[in-house]
Amino acid sequence: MITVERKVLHGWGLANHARSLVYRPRGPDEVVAALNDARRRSLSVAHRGSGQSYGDAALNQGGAVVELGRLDRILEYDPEDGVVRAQAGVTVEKLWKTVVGDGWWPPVVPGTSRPTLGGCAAMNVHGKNHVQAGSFGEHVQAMTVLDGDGEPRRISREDPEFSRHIGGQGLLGTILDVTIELRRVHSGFLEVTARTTPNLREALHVLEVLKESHDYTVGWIDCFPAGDATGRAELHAASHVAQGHPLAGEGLTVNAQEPSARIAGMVPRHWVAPLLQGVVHDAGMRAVNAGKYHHARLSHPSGYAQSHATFHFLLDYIPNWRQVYWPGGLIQYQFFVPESAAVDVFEEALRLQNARKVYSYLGVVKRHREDPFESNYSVDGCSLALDFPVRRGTVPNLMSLVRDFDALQRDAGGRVYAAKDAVSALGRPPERRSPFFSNNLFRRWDRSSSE
Amino acid sequence: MKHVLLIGATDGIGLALARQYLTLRWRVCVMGRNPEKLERVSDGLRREFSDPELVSVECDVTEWSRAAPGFDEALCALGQIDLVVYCAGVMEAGSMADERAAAGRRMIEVNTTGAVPFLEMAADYLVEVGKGQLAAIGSVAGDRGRKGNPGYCASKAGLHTYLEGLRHRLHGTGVQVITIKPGFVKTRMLGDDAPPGAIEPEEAAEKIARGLERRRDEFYVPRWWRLVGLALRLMPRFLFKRIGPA
Repeated sequence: MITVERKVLHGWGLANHARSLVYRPRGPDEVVAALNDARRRSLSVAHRGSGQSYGDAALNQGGAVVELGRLDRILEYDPEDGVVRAQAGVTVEKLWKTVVGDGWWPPVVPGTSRPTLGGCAAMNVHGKNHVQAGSFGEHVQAMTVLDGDGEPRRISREDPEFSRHIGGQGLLGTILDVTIELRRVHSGFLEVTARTTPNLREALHVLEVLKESHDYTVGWIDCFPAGDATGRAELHAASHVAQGHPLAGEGLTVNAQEPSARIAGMVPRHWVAPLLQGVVHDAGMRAVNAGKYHHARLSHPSGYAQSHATFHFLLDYIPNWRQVYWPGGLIQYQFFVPESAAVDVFEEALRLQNARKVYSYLGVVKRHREDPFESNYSVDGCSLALDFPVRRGTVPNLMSLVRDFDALQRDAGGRVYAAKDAVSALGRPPERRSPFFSNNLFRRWDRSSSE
Repeated sequence: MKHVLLIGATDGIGLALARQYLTLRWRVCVMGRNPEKLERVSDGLRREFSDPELVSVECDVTEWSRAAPGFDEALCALGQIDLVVYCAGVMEAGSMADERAAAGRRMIEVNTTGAVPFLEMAADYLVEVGKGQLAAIGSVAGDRGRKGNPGYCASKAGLHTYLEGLRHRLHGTGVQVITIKPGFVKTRMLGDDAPPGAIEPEEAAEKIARGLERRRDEFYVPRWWRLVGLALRLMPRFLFKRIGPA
């Protein structure tokens, strides 16, 4: 008998929450039992991995949530050809820790190692190599999916419905396991170069150049300054090392991958979030951002080696950092716009937030390309992700800003990314076109139409 | 971004609060008992605000069996709840004993017992969330029993005490329970003979929204009523009997 619990779940950003019936199946049989039980209660179903989506993607107010985190076994792994078949609840962290010793690395990883592989496939996540290597789904060979009739089916990338399930947000069925092709790495280290640019226009230009010669590119943006310094940035580009390189064969262990427990050998990383608590306001974060920019500008190391895990999982570097935003939480608004429009749209976005005096505490730019899947959020262009704290006093301005962003994004032919979105009105069914709703109506409609 | 459930918001302070929170760009759920009135009010609000984040749920607070489904419906429609304000309230009077009895009973049903299931359900929900505010509109009339309308005073005093107990129970959970005590507000309740010093419902709503932001456990609207309330509560019984207000 499957256990079920009525409880409140939060979106990762802590700004939305919903009460649902939560199932935590321990295996594929219990997933079937959970879905049947939800159907008997005529509840809509949402899927949840480790709950890393910022907004309401893994929430379902008043409905059922099937949490797949207990399906965490690696089913098959061939260290020779680098193919892994893993249950949906296996996290990116577990995957890389399993394979790194054999000289493999997941081909695409998001900015945190906490998401599950099922979640990565369902949201079709991307990494800092989106434009070079494509999205997560492009490296999935096959999946086992449980759809309306309750029979697990193996779907490979040649099957027509594959394209619907990748990025399908789990609306069309439960992903039970995923088969992924890993990437061969000759070293546990990447060669990283960092440089600063004085404004956004130049940042995007330099990213465009860097992407040709590097495997990974990403830009951090200081969102506070206005005028000429709008969008001043620190860019990072990284490349795998070839065989025969001095770093080859080094660092291919879990211990060598993990960042040290202390920052600069002194401050324990888990102290940072509580320490930050005191400066998480506009003035404090303006100073932190400026300090980070100028530190990067003045230190500019020409190039250095960094482990894969340290380079990729920057969001894990400061444990529990989202707690600094409690109780209001944070939202992220991510623009995805075509390359030709990117500079204008992003500059306008930063100008608008300055005009409304609502500041993003963290901005990230990346270069993307189109994905070959049906529900494709990506564009051949750039994204700008902006983190905003949610505070009662700033809600009116923040909401107005979000609506301005929607208009900007729509006019530029932009798209919304469900893994991040909590507030955008774009791409949501009109009757639920509102911030922070749980898209259960959507789910209900979808499920009934698939039966 | 922020979500408020207003119970009893088709009139008076509740409706003004709905306007206030729509202005602040919150997502608002208005709950009312009369379906036609509810529709009229939401249509009006939709015309007044461009593209408001507004939903409405029909629910009569005196029908206990409707409370749980009503609350769940509101929660589903809103998506989540950050603030609940119980605004439903009536003031009735009568000249004959049986009329006074009926009025008293009705006031206690709407003002006090009607609030109980919503306060309890919202409390459980907000405690699970670990944050949020739970407020109800009491009255300065609840501070002392007055000769003019004992039933009304008793109903509001009951509500105040319930809220106080709830506040003590929820202490340390991150959920705040707030008693709002308005003075005279020019709503249908007061009719045409509003006493001097009465404020418009819009002004009251603005002050209530600001008061909730200050996170006091209890506050008067407008604030100078706090002094009046204090004077009334301190007044000795023998004196109140003779010169206490109606």
